[in-house]
Amino acid sequence: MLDTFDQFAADRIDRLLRFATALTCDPHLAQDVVQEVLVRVQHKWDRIGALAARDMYVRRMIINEYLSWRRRKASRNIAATHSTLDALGTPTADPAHIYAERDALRSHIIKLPRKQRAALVLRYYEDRSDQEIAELLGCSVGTVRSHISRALSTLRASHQHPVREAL
Amino acid sequence: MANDRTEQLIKDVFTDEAARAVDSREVLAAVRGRRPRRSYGLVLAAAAVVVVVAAVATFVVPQVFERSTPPAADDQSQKTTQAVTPTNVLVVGTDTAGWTDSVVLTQVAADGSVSLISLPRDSWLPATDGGTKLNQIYARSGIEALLATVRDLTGVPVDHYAVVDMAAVGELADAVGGVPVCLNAATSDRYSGAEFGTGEQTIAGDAALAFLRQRHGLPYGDLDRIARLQAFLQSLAVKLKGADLAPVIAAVQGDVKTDPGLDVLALAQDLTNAKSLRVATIPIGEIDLSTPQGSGIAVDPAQVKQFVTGLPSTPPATGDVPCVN
Repeated sequence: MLDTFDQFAADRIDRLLRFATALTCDPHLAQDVVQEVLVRVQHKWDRIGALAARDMYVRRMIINEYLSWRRRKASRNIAATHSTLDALGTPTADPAHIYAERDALRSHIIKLPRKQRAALVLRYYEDRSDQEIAELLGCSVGTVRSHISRALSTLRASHQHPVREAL
Repeated sequence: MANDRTEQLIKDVFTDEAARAVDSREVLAAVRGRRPRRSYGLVLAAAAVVVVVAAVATFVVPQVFERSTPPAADDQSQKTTQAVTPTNVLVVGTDTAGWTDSVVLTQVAADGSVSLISLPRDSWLPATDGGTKLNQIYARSGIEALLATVRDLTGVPVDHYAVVDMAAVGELADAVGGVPVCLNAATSDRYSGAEFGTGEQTIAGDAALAFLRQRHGLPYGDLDRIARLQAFLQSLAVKLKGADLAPVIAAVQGDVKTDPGLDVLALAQDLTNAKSLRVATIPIGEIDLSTPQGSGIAVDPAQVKQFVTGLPSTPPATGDVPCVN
């Protein structure tokens, strides 16, 4: 029996938003990406709703929307670190050094090539298998492994020579 | 396969990121309220825009009202030449789904000076309803609840309101023959349709709408959008002096709802005679606060009250409209 679109959206939206936020590192962009995708899903619900793999399909739409947004927006992608944002606010007693390591890593994740970043989110946030990641990214399992291993070596290297700019 | 330290940190980073997700109810409402034909309708990002309409409506519509009043109505004009009555009006801009994306406290002081104070829509209020973002209150509990919240937060006895439906801003900017603004840097964004060069430019129609909607690709997102709204309002106010008002009224008619007790005529007088205009945003703390309703903005009620109280003694805006991001 077919769910209604409303039912489907209400059940999935929290997870989709969290996933998109981890993917984009930007809650507001994630909001627009998810909103945009769900409007399209709603429009084509007769077809998408009947798919056995509709969850994968919707997730793939989100990834594609994110990848294409980045492509069109190649000129400038400002992703402020938490430290930069904190600097805007009222100064407060600062437990920031606890987060410094994580913040530094975040700033390197943001700079990764977009497909590498997407592969990392699918592996480490969604716990997807290489096979699933390959389907979602539309590439081979070998390519997935290479994306992840390159991303990891970049991040490990940056980790050993921490960049001070985020502080 | 055990994760090493780097992999564990990566997991932590993504978990932290995911926790910053916005409130899903807002997104669901937008998806449901959206007409499928408009591919980039941006119901939510629309936001701030609307206040412009309200400002103009309070500014302009009643003024013409007065002009068309027959000369016999002398008692009315005498009343408005008396000393200014301090008035506090909450101007609220809603999108088509009924979320309040712009909340602006308009204060007319006894000395005739006017302040427009923006309250960011994501302000987190831990003591209200067991914790809520400002933009949730109107949709859930209505305008009286929102008025009470703003009274508590600012310490200002807000007695009146104007609620404005999203619409008409493009036409409004057209109606005044375009509004001059100035940008620090060129920017383009496909979600809002924004496409602007650097420096001074006059915007109207869809470009005006996009200017006030854009938050992606700006250094401080929604806060930059508030700065844009404020610059736009200041510039619009200049433009309205001496503008042909008939088309302006046609553009905004039907989009504004006020409380029955608001004396729009007197308010319009006060606004048009304003000796000085101050445009400000309440002081804010952490702008990426993790809340049960997604990423929010911390506000300290004591600081806000102090700021609002002290505002009349700060220097008013000069004639120059600042360049914005």
